[in-house]
Amino acid sequence: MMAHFDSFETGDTCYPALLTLIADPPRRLWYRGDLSVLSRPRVAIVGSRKSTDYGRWAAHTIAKRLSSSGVCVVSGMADGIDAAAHRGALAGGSPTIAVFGCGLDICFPKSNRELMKEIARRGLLLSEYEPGTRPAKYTFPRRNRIISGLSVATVVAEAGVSSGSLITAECALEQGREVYAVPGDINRIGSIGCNKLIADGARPLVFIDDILTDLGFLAPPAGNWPESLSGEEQRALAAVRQQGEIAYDRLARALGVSVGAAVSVATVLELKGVVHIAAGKVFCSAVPQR
Amino acid sequence: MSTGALSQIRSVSICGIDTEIVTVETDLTVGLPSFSIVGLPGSAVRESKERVHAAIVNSGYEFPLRRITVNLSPADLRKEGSHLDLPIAVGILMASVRSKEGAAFCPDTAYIGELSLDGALKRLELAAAMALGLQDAGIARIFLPAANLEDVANLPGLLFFPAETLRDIVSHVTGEFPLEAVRGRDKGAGVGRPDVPPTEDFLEVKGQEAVKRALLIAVAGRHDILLTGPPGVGKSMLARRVPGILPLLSDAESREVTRIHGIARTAEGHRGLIRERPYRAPHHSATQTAMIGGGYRLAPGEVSLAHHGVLFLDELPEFNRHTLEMLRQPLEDRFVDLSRASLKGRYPCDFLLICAMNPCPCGYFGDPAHFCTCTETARQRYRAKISGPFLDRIDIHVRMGAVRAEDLAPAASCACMSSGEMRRLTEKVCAAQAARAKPDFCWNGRLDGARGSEVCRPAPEALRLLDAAYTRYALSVRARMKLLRVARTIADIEGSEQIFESHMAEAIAYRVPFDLTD
Repeated sequence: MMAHFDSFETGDTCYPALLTLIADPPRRLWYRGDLSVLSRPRVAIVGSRKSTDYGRWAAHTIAKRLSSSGVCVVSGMADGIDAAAHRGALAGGSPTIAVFGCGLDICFPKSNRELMKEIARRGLLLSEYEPGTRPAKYTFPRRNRIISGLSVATVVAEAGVSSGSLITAECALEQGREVYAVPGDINRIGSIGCNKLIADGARPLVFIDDILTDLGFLAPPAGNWPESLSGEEQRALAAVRQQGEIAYDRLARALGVSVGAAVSVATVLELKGVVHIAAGKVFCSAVPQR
Repeated sequence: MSTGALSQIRSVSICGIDTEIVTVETDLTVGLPSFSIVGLPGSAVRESKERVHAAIVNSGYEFPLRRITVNLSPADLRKEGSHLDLPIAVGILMASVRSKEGAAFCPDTAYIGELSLDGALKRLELAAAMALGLQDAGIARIFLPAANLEDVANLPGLLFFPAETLRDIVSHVTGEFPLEAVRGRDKGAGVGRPDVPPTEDFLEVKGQEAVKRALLIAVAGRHDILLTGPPGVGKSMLARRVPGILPLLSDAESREVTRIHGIARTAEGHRGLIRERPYRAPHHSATQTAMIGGGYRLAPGEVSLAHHGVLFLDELPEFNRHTLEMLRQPLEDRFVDLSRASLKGRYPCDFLLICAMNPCPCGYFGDPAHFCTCTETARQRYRAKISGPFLDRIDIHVRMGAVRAEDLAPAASCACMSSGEMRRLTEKVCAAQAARAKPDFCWNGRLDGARGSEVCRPAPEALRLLDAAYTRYALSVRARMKLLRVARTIADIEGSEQIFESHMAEAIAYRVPFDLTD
């Protein structure tokens, strides 16, 4: 039995005005979820499926920051960066939009089934393809124009040389929208696409709050930061900031303490929300003040 | 004079991993000459008829031409093994002598030994386990093959009569040539352990101090631990060095380990009491029976062979999923009840579990230098091989990262801990746990319930931190107890009576990571 999906067309009142401005707007969009989401300001966050902890962290953090400021994050619900962006957006409290490259009755990739349910419940799923349409190689580049077309700006969180998210960035440029790229390690092949975007003129996203200021979204005061830190904690945070990411062993050496003490201080910093610990390393996660 | 003659002799039988005292009753009556053994003899025991007959005759004694009935009591217990040759032969000879002058039954003396056809006594494989079983049953004098003396010589509290032949034993019993008694003495106790060879020292592992610290905590308080990391960062290398930092077995533990390994015939290279904790690292192709125990003899599995020691499971997700799930109950109860048609037994299995795995099938998920080539689905399927309940039973989770070139430099290794230092710390924590032993010894990693909350009392700031983590990471009540247990061990390592904030913070770092459960 096929589930019933509603749709709207160009000319309908709910059709997003921003999308009508692009060269080839979709004639009809199928949807699932809450259409009132379309009244919010929107920013796209996209990136590679093959991603690093850093890329997913960046996507998650940026999405959460935007979402907690009331911005709706648009992405493609692919593995990796897209999924991290949706999760970050949901964590930030505002709804999020996922644009599919297939019919809305098909979950692709399958591993994101739970995420898809959550977005359908708290956000909006959109597709220009009729229910039942299988995903194909050409459907994804086509839907990318909708992701960028729906948004006032597109953030590329992490992209390799041949990432599909570069197509989204290109669409955004053609549509006259702002493109941001998160700078990455120049040694990492997974960051080449992003860094090249910056070289070609995209705005580097150096401070996450830049995007809020640029686009005029008013940011509420950041959560529990800064919470008072002890001298030791401040020194540890400085060491983490200096390296960007640091293993426990190196942190212990930088502070001149035992490795047990380093593990302990890093955990306290994580509880205070200023660092993020993953894959055995401590990452800087607080938004630094300018 | 009565026409019958009777003798009773003590011996022992192996039953699962337990030993059971067997009384060999021999009755000689007038009638057609015959020789029968009753009381569920196994095939080796049934064949002993032929060996006993030949050994008695070839030793120069007369085989009584009577109707001979040997009963192995308790009669409903199946007896296996050739070690009953000697008590049967001695029983027959005693019964025939008794018909003339009478030999007393000595309930505190036992005989074990396999006879060769010429009457010589052959070395037994399970002598140490049998001697321990006899001692537990209150039997202190044991006649056994001389070749087995070195297997048992360090079991204290026992008196051994080593004999070369059946003749030696007969001449001892008749008082002609008494055998020299040897008192078991534990020479190993009090002697320091040999140092860890440099190639097996933790000093060899560079740039993984945080993981060494976690292993130290795991060993000191017996907290089961899981190491996750890309290939080549030293997971197996670290695990292999764990035996060098294990505290020695206590006397009671040592007896138990010696018995289990004696019966399982895995005590190779050991003579007498085993003092070192066992370290078992089964390959991931291990079957369920090999892991848990079973088979026709109800042999102990790897979990029981690792009793009081370490069970290391490398490449955890490669193990059969059912095999891993079967570990859940032993991990909870610390024993397995094995049950087959003919045998039943409760096998102890209190071990430290060390597991190692890659974060994904290709191994490089989260590694900055390599690209993970796995799809999200493949990664999820890989992680799903380890169930949530299994993960939940592991106290310490460590995510290992790649080692950077500068961490391998000699300058970086000055803060490196050696196995010797680590062992001193584990022994110190052991002593702290022993000091709290009321009424009995309990590893920190096994603390639970009321005893757990009594022993793991955090200071107010530590408690505040614990509550913050409880909310922030949405922990379960079980996970909260785990953090308290680990914090208790960290406090013991630091020599603190109370659990302070820094101990608690470090314990929180070892909780189940988000990327294993999402």
